[in-house]
Amino acid sequence: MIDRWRAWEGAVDCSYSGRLWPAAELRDLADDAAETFASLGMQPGEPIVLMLTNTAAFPVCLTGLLKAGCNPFLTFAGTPKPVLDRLLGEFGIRHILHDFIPDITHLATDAYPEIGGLGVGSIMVSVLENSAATVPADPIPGQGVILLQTSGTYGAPRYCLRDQEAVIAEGRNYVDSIDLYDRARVTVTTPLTHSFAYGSGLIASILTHSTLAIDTAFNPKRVLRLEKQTPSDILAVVPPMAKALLQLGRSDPNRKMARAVFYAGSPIDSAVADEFQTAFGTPLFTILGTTETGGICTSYSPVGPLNGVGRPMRHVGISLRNQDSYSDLGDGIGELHVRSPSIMQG
Amino acid sequence: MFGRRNIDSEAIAGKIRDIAARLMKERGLAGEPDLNAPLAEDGLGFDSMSRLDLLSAVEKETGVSIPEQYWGTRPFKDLAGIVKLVAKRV
Repeated sequence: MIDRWRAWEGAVDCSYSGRLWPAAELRDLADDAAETFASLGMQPGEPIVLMLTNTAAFPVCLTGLLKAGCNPFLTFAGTPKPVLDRLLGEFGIRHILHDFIPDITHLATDAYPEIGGLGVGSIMVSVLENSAATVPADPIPGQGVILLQTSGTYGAPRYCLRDQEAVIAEGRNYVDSIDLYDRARVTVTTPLTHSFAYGSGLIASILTHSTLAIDTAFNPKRVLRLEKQTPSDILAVVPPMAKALLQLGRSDPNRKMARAVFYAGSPIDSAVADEFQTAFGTPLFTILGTTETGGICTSYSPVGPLNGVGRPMRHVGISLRNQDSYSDLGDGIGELHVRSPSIMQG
Repeated sequence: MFGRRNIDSEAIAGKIRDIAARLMKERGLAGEPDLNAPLAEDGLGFDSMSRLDLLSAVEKETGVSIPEQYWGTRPFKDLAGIVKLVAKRV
């Protein structure tokens, strides 16, 4: 992933609330960030909570952590403190990266002492310390592993791990699934800590030298205004955003929309999807999110209990087959075959 | 939907409370839609996605346009804030 990051010729467009950040500038900042993280005592293999909003600081800190060999744990910026406390305790996490954006983030500095910081333009990222952390019983295997939390759309919220090869494979899967061409403009309205947004937005943009447009606010009126000014090639949304865009935008005679809109999460009624296409002239496609399709790991312990990965999904099937006869084996040893309209090989 | 006539804030509060109660029920959120309780996860339990649904429903069912700056992640701390804005713009 670091190699892809180095080769990226796109940008992060924060023009909703800031400015455009060319990839080269973000790379320099990520290099500095990696040094800062190491100097603050972050160790290779250590899980670090990345609790950031949608600003240029997100890709800078994500890649800075990977370069330092740490394991970024993507966590929604507005996570309530009791939920965060539980997460920190479960994984023995010592450090949190957090930005303080009015009306969005609310983790007070006095909750965890600030031991340092990182400036990304006008954005200040605080490094907070959880001094109560103890070494977890099951350390996360490897370095530079990305930890995700599933949305729970198809089951209870769970954690999953992505090594960098898996990240790239999933990014490729998104590029193929959404038919993303090189040097496109991708707008993501969902927090980048959300696995669908990070996969279809950041990683897919890096792989295709595209420009990723993001915003700190989850604001449909702002999306409609910005799409009128600079229409995107791809717009990635969650169902409530798609429905809000339809409701708020269809009466505007000058409305404009991205070339294609994709959503992941709970299903949208086909009548609503048809209305969306009629109103905007843009198809609304569904796509299975990263955590719903790509090699979900629900337990990283080699000896712990096996967990389910969620309820059955339409068009997704799994069977264990004999390599020669390709017949279903049931219990036994064989090849695991996964069938899905949106899944990568491997 | 409210027309351009005198609507007392009690009626507006009742309408907003009804909308919130319906959405809370749909999402399996426990409790009553107290106007002064925090809207977020530490109160009524509206996360960022359900807040979007809430504002969309308020705009659709009251006919009052909510300006862009009031959308987004955490513009309203509670239902009382929404009642106040709708009352001002009805």
